[in-house]
Amino acid sequence: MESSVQKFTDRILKDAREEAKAIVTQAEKSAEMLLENRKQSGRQKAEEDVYALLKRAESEAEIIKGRVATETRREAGWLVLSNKEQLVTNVLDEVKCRLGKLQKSKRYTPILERIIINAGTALGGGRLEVMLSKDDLALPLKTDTLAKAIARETGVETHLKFSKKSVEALGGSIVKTPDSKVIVDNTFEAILKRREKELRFKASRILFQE
Amino acid sequence: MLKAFKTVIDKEQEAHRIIREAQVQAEKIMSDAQKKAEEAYKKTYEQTVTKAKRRSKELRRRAKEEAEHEAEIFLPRAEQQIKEIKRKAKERFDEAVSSVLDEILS
Repeated sequence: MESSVQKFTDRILKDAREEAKAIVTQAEKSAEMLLENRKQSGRQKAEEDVYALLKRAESEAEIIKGRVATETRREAGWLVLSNKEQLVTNVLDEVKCRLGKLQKSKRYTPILERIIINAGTALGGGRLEVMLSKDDLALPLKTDTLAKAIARETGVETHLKFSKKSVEALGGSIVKTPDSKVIVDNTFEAILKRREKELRFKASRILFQE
Repeated sequence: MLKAFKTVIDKEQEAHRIIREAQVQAEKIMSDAQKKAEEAYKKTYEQTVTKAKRRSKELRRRAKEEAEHEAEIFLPRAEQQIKEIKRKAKERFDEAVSSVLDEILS
């Protein structure tokens, strides 16, 4: 009787120990699986974020390249352009210099006469006043001849009067109506200023033609 | 008979205790595992992202370096172009001056 009870209780304990072992083993397996699953989740989430991170970095890298290239092109373009502008300015400076020399040459008087005739014609003839630079006041200009030339062009009887007041100019003339309401300023400086864009364009076309 | 019955009851109680202890141990294993799993998640995530951040930084650095290198080639080209422009302009300088003078005086 005692021996069968012993066997029975031994069996109870043996079963309980086995069940306990199974419970722990199962928990260990589950723990291992949980750990692996979370690692995997971490990797997956990181990969998603990393993809976006790298895409953004690639895009920023392209922007950096583009920006540096644009800045370089702009800088190079500006360098070329500013040098060209300076070369054109050099031409206009030389033109001013030669206009100054021209005023002292024999070629100048007929040029000045033509400038006065053109201005008088543009004003439609009539009574006109001519202003010249100080040096030009001493030139042997024939008022009647000039007035006749204007009258021929306009068909209007013309009287020219040379003002005693001089203008600050390299050459050329200012022709105006006596009331000063209409003025044609054809001093060299005024022509250069008025036509600067056009003259710069002309100079640059010659200087930089391919 | 009574003694035998008592022995069986004692052993059954011991068996219950063994199982309960195992269950407690299992719960602890799972609880520890939960903590370890969260740490492992963070660690794996941070390691991967840190590596990617380093790569991103490297990508930007290399892009800037390449662009600057290209710029270093580009600017001397422009300077060479300017030299050529100046050389041609010098040859055509008098022509340009005469042409502008003619334009003014015509």
